[in-house]
Amino acid sequence: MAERALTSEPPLLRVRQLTKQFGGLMAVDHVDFELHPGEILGLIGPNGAGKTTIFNMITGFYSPSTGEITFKEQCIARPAAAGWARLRGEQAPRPHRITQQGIARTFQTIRLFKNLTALENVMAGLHHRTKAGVWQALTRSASQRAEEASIVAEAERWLNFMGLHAYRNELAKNLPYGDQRRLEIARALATRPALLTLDEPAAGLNEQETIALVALIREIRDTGITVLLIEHDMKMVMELCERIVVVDHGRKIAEGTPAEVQRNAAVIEAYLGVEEG
Amino acid sequence: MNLSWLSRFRERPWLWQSGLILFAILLPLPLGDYYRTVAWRTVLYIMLGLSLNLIVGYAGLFQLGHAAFYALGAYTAAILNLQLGIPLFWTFPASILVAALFGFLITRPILHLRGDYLAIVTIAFGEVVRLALVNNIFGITGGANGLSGIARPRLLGLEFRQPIYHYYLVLFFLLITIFAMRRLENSRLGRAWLYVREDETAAEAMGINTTQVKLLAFVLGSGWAGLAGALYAARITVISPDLARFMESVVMFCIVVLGGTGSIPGVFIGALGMVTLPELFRPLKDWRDAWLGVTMVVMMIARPEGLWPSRRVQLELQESEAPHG
Repeated sequence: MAERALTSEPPLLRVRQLTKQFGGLMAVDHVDFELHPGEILGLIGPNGAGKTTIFNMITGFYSPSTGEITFKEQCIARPAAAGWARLRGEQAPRPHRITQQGIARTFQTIRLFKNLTALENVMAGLHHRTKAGVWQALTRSASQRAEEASIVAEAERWLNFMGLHAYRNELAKNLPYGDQRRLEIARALATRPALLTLDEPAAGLNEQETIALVALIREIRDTGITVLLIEHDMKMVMELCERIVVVDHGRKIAEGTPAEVQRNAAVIEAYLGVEEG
Repeated sequence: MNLSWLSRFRERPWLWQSGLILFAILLPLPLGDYYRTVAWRTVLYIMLGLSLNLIVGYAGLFQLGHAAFYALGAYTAAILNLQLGIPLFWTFPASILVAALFGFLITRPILHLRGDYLAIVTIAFGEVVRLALVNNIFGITGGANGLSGIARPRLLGLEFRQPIYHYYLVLFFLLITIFAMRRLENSRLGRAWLYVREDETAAEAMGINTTQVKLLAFVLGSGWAGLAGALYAARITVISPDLARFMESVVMFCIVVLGGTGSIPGVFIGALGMVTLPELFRPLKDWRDAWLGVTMVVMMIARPEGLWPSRRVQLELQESEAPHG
């Protein structure tokens, strides 16, 4: 971790003083962290610590109450504008804009297009990088057909990459649970992200599947994609992540390498408190 | 043996498709003018059903004010013809554009609404259009009596007077509509509608601008309804605010939903059931609405996916009925 932090390369993602208030509840309370290109960062914490809320702010599903998120040195999330500012269009970017800028996500509870085939699911990720509109659809021009063919070809490549090609024409809901999780990752990868954010990718997987997933996430990182991971499975996080940010009750309580975090008194207390209480 | 006969048809879709087109072309020949008009009405409502299917079926958005756009198309054609003397065929593009433009203006601010809320706003909009027409807005809509004396369309010196000409005219546009719908269905845009209908949140997370995609469905569907309105004005030459009645919108909605949401053959069946049958049984007219009510209740219980549903909608409905784990 140390050598990465010292390089002059600017962080890919910077979260600054990020806060989210739901009524009287401080779900996220002035959290700061940075994500450097090419690393695998784990965001962990007991249930209800605010992990998924942070996640939803990064991916544009919530806008922060205060604070700011920058991605590739561009602001991607700031507090939602109210009144005139809102009418002038100064709104927080919507999720699709964030995906277009290069952050792809998966969901904690799988959200595949259940009644579409695996291939069609992955093709969804290619939508924003292709452009055929109404006219091209009606005339079915040569460029439209070429684009359709390239969409299918690339979607198949991602299915292959995730080892799902056998399910090409199978409806997503008929896939085994573990493969549904992989399909969701394939779909996210098809958007060609610079940052892949995974919301509890190992939830519900057995040990073998988890091991395979760890190898896969490494492989994804080796293709140059930065990974942000929320996870409950401690063993997996410790093994996979180079750096870990720990949150509890909406606050960041620790940050460091897996070894550092494991030794941290605040972290031990947060986790033991949960396990015994 | 029977099966191989069927599969032969399935392998060569052009076989039954051209058969169907041939049937549609020959259909009015042995009929009298009354039944030719019934056939014309049926084809027109299939077109309207297909335009609404784009919104309700493909994009999965409730539109209960579709008749407003139908009326806007008819009034645009009529006003251009009566006030500026533009030949009717030349008014068609304007009818499409005006209906599409209103589709854009009306739905842009309400697109974030979901399901039932969207339905309520679209009902309200339908009524606003009807009342604006009744109140002779800008002094050009003729008030409650509507507009009359629209010049019959002419093409190559041929005046479209007999019902059979108008039948072929709408049939021509219906064929174009079907062709266009099928192409849209199997395109990048068609898939985007599917994604939105399946899971809007996930579609958004995939980088799909869901607002834009939904707006496009509304604009295209509205424009198409505008064209149907212009075709109506061309045939009837007298139009009134009744075109925008809520009941009209309901009939269109039922054509799509009873026939089978999202399915082109479903719209055909829906139009036959909602438009043709009631016309053929005119003597029983008083019973028509009662029959409609009963049919609807029975359908919703026995076959909520419609008579000829698209395979996907069928799957989605089964999904929502299954208990969630």
